[in-house]
Parts: sequence; C-alpha cells; structure tokens
Amino acid sequence: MNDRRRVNGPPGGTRPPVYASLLQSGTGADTRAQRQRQPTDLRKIFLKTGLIPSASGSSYLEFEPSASLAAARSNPKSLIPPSSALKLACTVHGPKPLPRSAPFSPNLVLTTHVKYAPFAARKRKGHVRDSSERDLGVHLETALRGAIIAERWPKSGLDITVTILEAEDDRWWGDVPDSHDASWGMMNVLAGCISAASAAIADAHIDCLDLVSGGVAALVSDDSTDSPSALPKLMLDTDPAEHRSIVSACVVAYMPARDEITELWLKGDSSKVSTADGDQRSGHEALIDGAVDAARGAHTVLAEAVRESLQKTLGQS
Amino acid sequence: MASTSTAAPAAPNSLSLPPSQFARLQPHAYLLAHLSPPSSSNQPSIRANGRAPSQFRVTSANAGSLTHTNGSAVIRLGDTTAVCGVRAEILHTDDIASWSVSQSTNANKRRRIGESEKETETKDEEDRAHIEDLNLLVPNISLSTGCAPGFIPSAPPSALAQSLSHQILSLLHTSRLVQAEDLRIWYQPPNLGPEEVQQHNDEEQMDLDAGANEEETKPAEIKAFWVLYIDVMLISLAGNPFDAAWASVLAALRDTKLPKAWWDVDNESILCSDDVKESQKLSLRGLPISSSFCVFEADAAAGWRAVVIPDAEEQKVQDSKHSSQQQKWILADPDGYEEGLVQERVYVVVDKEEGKTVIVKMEKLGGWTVDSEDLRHLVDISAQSGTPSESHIDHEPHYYQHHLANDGTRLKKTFSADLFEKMTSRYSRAIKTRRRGSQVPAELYYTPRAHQGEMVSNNNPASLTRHGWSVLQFPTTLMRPDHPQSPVGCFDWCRSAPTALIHHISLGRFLRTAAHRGLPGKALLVELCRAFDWLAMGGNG
Repeated sequence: MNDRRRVNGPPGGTRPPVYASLLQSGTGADTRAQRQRQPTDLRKIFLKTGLIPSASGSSYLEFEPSASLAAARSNPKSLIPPSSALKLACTVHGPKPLPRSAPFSPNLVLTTHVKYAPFAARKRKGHVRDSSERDLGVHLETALRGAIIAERWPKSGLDITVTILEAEDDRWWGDVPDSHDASWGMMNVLAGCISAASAAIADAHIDCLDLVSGGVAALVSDDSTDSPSALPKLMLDTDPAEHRSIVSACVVAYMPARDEITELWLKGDSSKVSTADGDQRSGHEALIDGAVDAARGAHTVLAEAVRESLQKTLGQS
Repeated sequence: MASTSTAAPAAPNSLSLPPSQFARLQPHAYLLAHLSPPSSSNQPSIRANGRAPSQFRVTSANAGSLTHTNGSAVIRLGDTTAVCGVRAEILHTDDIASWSVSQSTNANKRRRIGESEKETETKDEEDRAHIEDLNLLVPNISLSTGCAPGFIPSAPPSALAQSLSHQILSLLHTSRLVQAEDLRIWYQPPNLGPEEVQQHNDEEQMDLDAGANEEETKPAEIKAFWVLYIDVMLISLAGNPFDAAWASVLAALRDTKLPKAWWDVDNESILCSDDVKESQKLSLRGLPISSSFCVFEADAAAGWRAVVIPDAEEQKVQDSKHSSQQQKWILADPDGYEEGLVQERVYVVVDKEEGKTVIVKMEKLGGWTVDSEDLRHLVDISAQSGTPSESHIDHEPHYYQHHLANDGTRLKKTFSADLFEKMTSRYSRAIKTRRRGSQVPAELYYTPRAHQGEMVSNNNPASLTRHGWSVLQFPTTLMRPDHPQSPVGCFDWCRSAPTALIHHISLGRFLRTAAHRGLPGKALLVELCRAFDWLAMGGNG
C-alpha cells in the first residue's frame, strides 16, 4: 500500500482530529444548518469559462455558500464548518487524434475523469481514484455522450477532466448515519460536473445538440416533531447538510431545446410524496419533474456563461 | 513546410506568415527575433509574451477559501494556477514504532550535554529529527488535473509531478519553515501520589510549566504530533510550476490554524477544541520566496562545439566569455512556451534575515552559460521580486549551504563570497572538461563543513561518470583559509563555473579522461596542481 511515487505520511497512519464537543450528544443542534430558501428556489451559481488557457476548453463552477456557511465564514466561531459549497474546475482537451494503438472509431471517443482533491471532503480522500469517483465519471460520460454530435470527429478523442476542490456533504456533520443515509452529496456534485463540463465543451467549440445542464431534486422529510406518517416534501437543489433526512433524490442531465434527458439517476424510496391538491403525479414523476426544473434553472446560467465566453473570443479575433 | 517551399518560387511575397504561425513553426527563431531586434529599429529587447527579460508575471493570491481545510490558498501566476490545501491530522506517539527507544536515547544525550550552546544545537537537531524522520510534513503536487495537454489524468504522477513534490519537501525541510514545537501535542502527567495530593492541588492554581516546581512535577511528555498534509492541485499550467506551487504552499501554511489539542486520559486519545479563539496559527520561520529563471541561448550548440583547452591564455577565455554574453538572455518566470526552448534553468529561493538577503536554495541545471556574476545578479532580482517593499538589498549575500541530500543532514556554513568568486573565476576553465553527452542535473551546493575522509555527497563518482561527467579525484585535503587547522575537505568534481563543486580528484581517472579527449594531459595536471596550491594558500597566491 506504500505509494512510491508520492510523498507518504507517517507509515503508521494518522487519525483525523476528534473534537471534544462531538462526544457530548446534542451539541451544535442550535447551530444546525437550516434551509433558508423556498422549496423551489435554487442556489446561485458562479460559472466562468476559459480560465485555463492551455486547455481547449475549460470552466470553473462554484455554488453560492448556504446561509449558515456564509455566516460561519464572516463570523467564525467553530472550526467545524456547518456545510460546504461545491467548487470544481473542468478542462477539455481535444478533439485530438487517437493514439496509434487505439482501434478505429468512426465517432469521437469521449473519456471523462472525475477526481476529488484530497482536501475536498470532510474525510480526507486518497490520491488514487476510488470507486465513487469512477462512478461519477461514468455518469458524466453518459450525460455528455447524448449531447455531443460524435460522428463529426471520426478517429478522435476528447478528454474531460473534472477536479473537485470542494464537495458537498452527505448529511449534516453532527448526525449519525442512519438507514436513510446515502451519498447524497455525490448527486449535487454530478449535477455540477454536468453543467461545468457542458460549458467547457462549448468553450472548446465542439458541436453539441444543446447545452446539457444538471439539476437535483429530493424528497425530504424534515420535521422530526411531526408524526412519522408525514409525507416527504419535494425540494429543488437540496444541500444535504441542511436537511434532517433525505428520502430520495434524483439528478438529471437535461437539454431544454429538445426536451430530452440524457442521464437520470434516482436513488431512494420515492413512493410517497406530499403533493398539492389535485396533483395526481406519483412520487418519482414529481421528483423527475423537480430535477428537470432545477436543470432548466441551471441552463439559464450556462447559456449566459457561454454567451460571455463567445463574446470574449469574438472580441479577441 | 512542404506547401510553403513549393509556393515560394511562384510568389515570394506570399511567404510571410502571421506571427502565430511563425511562433509554432520556428519557436526558437521567433523568440530570438523578439529578444534581439535589429539595431536599426531602436526597439527594446522584449520577450514574445511582452515582458522584459527580468520581469515576473503578475501574481495574485487568495487564502482561506476552502471549507474543509485548516489552511488553503489559491495562487495565480499569470496563467498558471495552483490551489493548495493543508489538512492536519494526528499522529499518536503510540503509532510510531521506534518512539520509546528514540526518546530514551535522546534523554540520555541531553543529560550528557550540559553546555547551553550545545543544548540549543541538540534542540535544533531534535526539531529536525521530529519533522523529517517522522514525516510530519507531507507535500504532494498533482498535475493530473488536466492542467496541460500531455498529462494523462488517470495515470500515476508523472516524473515532473514527483520531482516537484520532492523539491517542495526538501525545501520545507531545509528552510525549516515550520517549527516543530507548533506540531507537538504535550501532556503534563499530574502527580497523584497520596502524599503529594495537597501539593498537586496547589499546583493546579499555577501554571504547570512554572519553573519553581519543575523538579517535583513529572516531565511533560509528547503524546502526539500534528501531521500536515499539504496537497497542491495545479489547475492550470502555463510554465513555472515550482514557483506557483511553492507560493501556494507558503500562503496556505500562513493561513493554517491548528485547533487546541490535549491528551484525554479517560478516553485515552487526543481531543481537540473546535473553538476558533483557542486555535493557533502556525508560526513560520521567515518567508522564503522562490524565483525561477531560464536561460535562452541564441545558439545553444555553441558551447558544445568549442573545445576549451585549459592552458590557453586567460585573455581568450575572457573574450569568449564576453562574446557569449551577447548570445544569451536570462528570462525570469518563464511561461510554457519559453520553457520548451531552453535547457538551462536556475532556481533561487531567498529570504530576508535582519535585512540581509539569505539564499535558502540555489539550483542550476542543464547547462553552463550562467556564471557567478549572473547568479549574483539573479539573487538580487529574486530579492527584489519577493519583497518589493524593502528597497534595501544587501549586495554581499551570505551563501547559505543547504545540503539537499536524502539523508537529511542539514549543513550550514557561511562561505566567504570573495573566495567563492575567486574559485569560480579560476576554475571556469578546468570546468569545461566535460564529455559531450547527457546532462546531469546537479544541485548547487558546495562543501560546507569539513568532513575529512568521508565527503558528504550522494553524488558518487560512479554515477556521475555514467551521466557523462568527468569525475576528477585528487588526494589533497584543502585547508580553510581563515582556519588553517580545519580542512575544508576533499573537493569533489568540477562543474560549470558558479557551482565549482570539487570533491575528489583522482589522477588516474583524470588522465584517462583527458587522454580520451585528446587534451594535453600533463599541462592540465600542472595547471590543476597550481590551482590547488593556490586554493590551499587561501586564494592569495
């Protein structure tokens, strides 16, 4: 397990710091992050293209910090951050000729890599890609494959690399993992990856059917005081740190011009949902519709960023 | 190429290329044309990217923007971007295999050495041992972020990434930037003997470290260390990755806060306080600023063609030196385009100590055109670039010796700059007895402390000859000019002018090499002996 190509730490391994306040139960409950947005409100997105000149196309995406995180930043009290906001950089290299050894391909060969920085998450990540990062890469590839017109570049390859500098949490840091727990943060990361990669591909001037954008919706049962029979509510663009329990979540990659979904990933139990009166949709329909709505919202930001990038290139030449 | 040559005779005027095309087809000529404009045009010599030769790119820094780190920084150096995050984790002394053994030997050592002067020395040594032997600083640089085409994201770290990580690590060690005391977590065991309970209660009122009761209390012991994982992600690479990475490491370490930690007896583990007010910033030693340069030569092969015969007249050497100076440009903070065109690099890391410029690290590799005057000039430039606020630059830099070897022996010695100068100018001729072939990257350091018999070097002669260097061995011990009793050591091998590294000069080896080159071996030998006599006399003869 000794990696000779990197500088390794102490051979016996190290332990992450344990905070004394965590050992007492119920601490931090008053400072618990709460969602301040309406269920259909999305977080603001910062998206800029062309920051990495050595790549054919690049983009940088950042989510607006949640209210609790912004408060903790401006007035730091505890070393434990209440939540985190997604930050990632995406580069596109290509289209470039495939290596000689590769078999003939009539289409553009798309390769995607998603890597967390070691400091991206609450728990330190390794330098080698783990299975969740590979999983994200595959999901991202499916999402983009449907949008790129691949037959325009036979015998060529396109490398898309996403570096996640700060990821989202899977739950609020003080909560113990329970039965509803899953890697919810990954879904937000995927949605961010899709939007950022789409902007970078547009920045590299590669023909696409439409700008594909990612959106997340989730069914959330937040009220611990209510009876357990209370139905979970639909929320768009959820930050898992702000919710007590996420029942199910869905991420879509969506192209508004064709009303087409290129990637759909739904996790959890979506059988029950509290809908408005007269709404006959089932749980998962509502969930997918919600994710599509979130993706539409992200699309407006994406279109603006791509327009900006185009104006910049036109201004240069 | 083919299309332009066929088109040329038909329409000579159409041969003109747009600058961007010219830059791609003839990169060397393109940069040369920028740097040496025709004298009639009256234009200044300027680089293809619009900067003056010694001008650095605009640097911007932003610290503390990443949530899950103890300290973080983003550095933009032109188009090169590095993100550094520092994460602190805890290393229990129970997890260190040899901890109890090394502690008892250290304690013995401390008991034996009484003098105060030696005590500080052992303390330094202990600090060094803790940081270096226990691997408390773990820097890693990742280039697999798609920062530039050519780095495959899924591949293991490239040679460049590995060497950068190692350079950062050795610079962290030799500059002793992080203080070991900041990383220690102490525990003061209470005295709980039945007759001492009263006394213990008294002691609780006062500081446990108070000197008066120190004899009675048990000595405080180290229970754990903080380990700093320093991860640098190069998001965008457009030349000069080392400066960007080092700047980001420095800025992130300055931003790093460590929580207050203590040994909890009940839990048998280290606990931390999450209160920001109780956390402590690292106190760093100095602010070493790194500056990188590259040397662009108009005709890179010129140096290889000329065969320098060591007993040629001094005048000739001066002349050739003069003309060669016209042919090279030292470019500060090279971008990716320039890096592709040069072989010789110089890395200088300087710091300020009481208003004086101190060289923390100097590394020169890949060529021999930069001489000692150039290096001196570069040090001045580096000192200016790092701290523009301080206008006063000491023009007599102290040459600090840092042994960058893997064995971690840190050697420090102020060598008289004057002697250094004399040595280098005198040796510039003998130095060029290098065989043509591959180039060995050599770190710039010269013999710091006298180690008679065994010369501290991991550049062993056998590996050097393999790299195409003439290794000269000579069984002469040189004395230090100011201290006739202490030998400077056996000098090792000669390199290009400013380095003047000599350990051993073996006559047999030398003659063989000389014969191989067809040089007048005897004359060379006489010249060398004269040089050694001169050096042994302190450079005055």
